[in-house]
Amino acid sequence: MDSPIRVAIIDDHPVVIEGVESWLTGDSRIQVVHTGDDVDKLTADDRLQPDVVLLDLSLHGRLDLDNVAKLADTGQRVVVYSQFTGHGLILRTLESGAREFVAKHEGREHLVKAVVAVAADQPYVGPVMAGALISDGGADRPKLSEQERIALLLWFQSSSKASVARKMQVSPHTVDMYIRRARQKYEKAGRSAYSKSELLARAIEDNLVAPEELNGDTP
Amino acid sequence: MTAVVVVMAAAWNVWHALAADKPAPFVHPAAMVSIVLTALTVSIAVLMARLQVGTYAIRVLALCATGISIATVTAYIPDNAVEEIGCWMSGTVGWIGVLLILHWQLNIVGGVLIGLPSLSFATLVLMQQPAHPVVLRLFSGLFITVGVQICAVLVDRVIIQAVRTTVSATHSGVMIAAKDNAARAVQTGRLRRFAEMDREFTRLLADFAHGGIEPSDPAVRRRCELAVGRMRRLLAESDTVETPLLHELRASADAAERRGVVVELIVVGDVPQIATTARRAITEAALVTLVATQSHARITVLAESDAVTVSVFADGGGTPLEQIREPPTEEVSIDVQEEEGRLWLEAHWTAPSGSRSSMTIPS
Repeated sequence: MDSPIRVAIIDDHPVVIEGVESWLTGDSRIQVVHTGDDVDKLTADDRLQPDVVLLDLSLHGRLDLDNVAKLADTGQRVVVYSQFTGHGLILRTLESGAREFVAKHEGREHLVKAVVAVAADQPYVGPVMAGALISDGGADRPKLSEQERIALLLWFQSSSKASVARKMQVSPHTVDMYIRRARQKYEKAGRSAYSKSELLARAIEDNLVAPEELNGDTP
Repeated sequence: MTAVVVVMAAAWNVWHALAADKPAPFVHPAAMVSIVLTALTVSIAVLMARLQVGTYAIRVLALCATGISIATVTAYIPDNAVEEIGCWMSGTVGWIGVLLILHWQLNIVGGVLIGLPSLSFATLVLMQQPAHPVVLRLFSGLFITVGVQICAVLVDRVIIQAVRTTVSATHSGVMIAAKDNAARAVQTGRLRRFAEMDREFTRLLADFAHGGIEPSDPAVRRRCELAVGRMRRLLAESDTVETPLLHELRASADAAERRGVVVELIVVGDVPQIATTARRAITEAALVTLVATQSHARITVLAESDAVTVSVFADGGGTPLEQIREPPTEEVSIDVQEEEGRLWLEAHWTAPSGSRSSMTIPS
């Protein structure tokens, strides 16, 4: 990507905004174009056009999933970051249209990777989100392969893809493939409200999803 | 009680048969046949009812036969046999009725025992119109017989209630004794573990006092941390909390956190109840790993209804597995992997009678 990734940060704590902004601008690929504590102000300003919106789930003491849906409905790529990490909440966040979820304690590395991946319409699964995905007992959950499930589980346990690779006796690239495939299956299962066309196109390009799978005959 | 009722019914009939001076009550052949049929049917019905065979149908049959018999006898009754018929209906038929409905609801039993003789009395008086002395004797005979039958039913209920009370008291006593034994076993176990901790700390202090070990020695520090961690876990075991496993894991991590180790504890799923011995096997392995941790440990708990996987991923090396004091049980398996300065321990618990979960990971 030639131009920097335009990121908007929505949080109600100035110290968090400054800290996150510092993390993101430390990466030359990212440019923070807006900070604030109000989702409506962001959507009302057509000039901003961020590539990614980094949204704190709890604003002014209120846990609000409607903000996620509101942004997703306008076509924004939303990355939610929160200190609340209950697996049910994470799954509901994804169902509301968030592209990815990053726990606040997961730190800079996962946050930057998530922003960069989402800006490129690529899936990214952090360890905490992996825990939520493998705990999903919903009737409409996608069917993961055994390798995908184990990769998610070990990624959740260790937060080290190199260690997961050693444990599974595959390459780190393969581990990454399993995790991204699992995430892609969740996208395909319709858990996001936003348009999935770009994500699916990327997934086909990366051989994460076969074209015939889009016809609904996924095993 | 049923036997008592049978004996009373038999005694009544014997007494009745021996009363030679009384007039023969049932002189018409149809009445005699009806009586014999009734006695036979009701006897079979009683036997089968007591054996719990075809209870409902047999009782209906017996009641119908009795009703037909009463109607037949009443229709062919001789003028001088009103009292005998009344006593027959409340005595022979009444006692058999007691046998049939002895354990029914008390209000139903009372209604039948009082209602049927009352109906018989009214029928006989209205149809035969006997003399006043006969009516009085008939009434007194019915009153005494029905009174004895109601007393028998009440005594039966009192005996049953007494037996139930006794059984309940015995059961409560057994439960109390079982709980008492369990509490004693738990207390004995805790005292044993406190004694072990006491010996461990005594040895440490003695070694320090004699100069045999140095506080600056990392191995000695680990030994102390392990002892402190076990003590904290032991104290945590007696706390009343919703999820003892998580509580004891936090207690196990406390010593490492005081050393400056950053410990993450992430839980997915609802942790089921796990026996203390199995929890100890899990937390002991986690504790030994945390003692060997240098700066960061990630503890994840993945819980399902019948399986729990506790993973400790930490930087460090040289996990002293030989220091694990609580060996894995049949319910708990332990797998430790060391790689490039990292420790990865997995403790997997499965419910004793349950099947392994689909979340189970290969070790």
